[in-house]
Amino acid sequence: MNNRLKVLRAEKGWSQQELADKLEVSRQSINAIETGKYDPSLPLAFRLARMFGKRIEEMFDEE
Amino acid sequence: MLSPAARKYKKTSLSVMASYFVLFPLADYLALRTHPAGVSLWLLAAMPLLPIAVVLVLLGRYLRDEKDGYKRDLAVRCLLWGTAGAVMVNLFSGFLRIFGWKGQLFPFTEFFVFALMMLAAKLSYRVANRVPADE
Repeated sequence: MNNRLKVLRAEKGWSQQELADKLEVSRQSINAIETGKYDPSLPLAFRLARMFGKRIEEMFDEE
Repeated sequence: MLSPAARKYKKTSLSVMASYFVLFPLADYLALRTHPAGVSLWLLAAMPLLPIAVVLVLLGRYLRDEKDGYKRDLAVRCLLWGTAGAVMVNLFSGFLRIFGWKGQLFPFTEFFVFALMMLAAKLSYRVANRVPADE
């Protein structure tokens, strides 16, 4: 699944570790989501969307 | 950095596996000294399995408690490959014997294969868990 996580994170000026800490997940998780290796769970997707003030559909896009 | 679930698993499993290095030689020593038969033999053979069974239960608890979905997913995949490797090799040696192979395996082959496959699972988890420098 495509996502805009890296772009949105860069706009906020956050590192992967900072975002991971805010979401209480590992940096490996954030990296895996950004590189498309892993699709987040629904609760995590909602938390990500809330974090960036977006809807899930604005952040994630089916291939 | 380890998650709370991973820290808890690591702490408990290390002490359990340490007990394995007591139970295994003890069972081996008792087998050589007492030449058990029947139920005694079965109980003696089950003795070294106890710490392994406990570690498997701890692994199950870790998978239940780990909140990070990616790490949980990765752990499951690595464990699956490690377990599959151990099962395949031990099944192969079993089939060799069933089909008439009369040769002698290295003593404790099944144990070493299992330990090796679990070590491979752990190493593959470590490698897969590495990420490039933070951006």
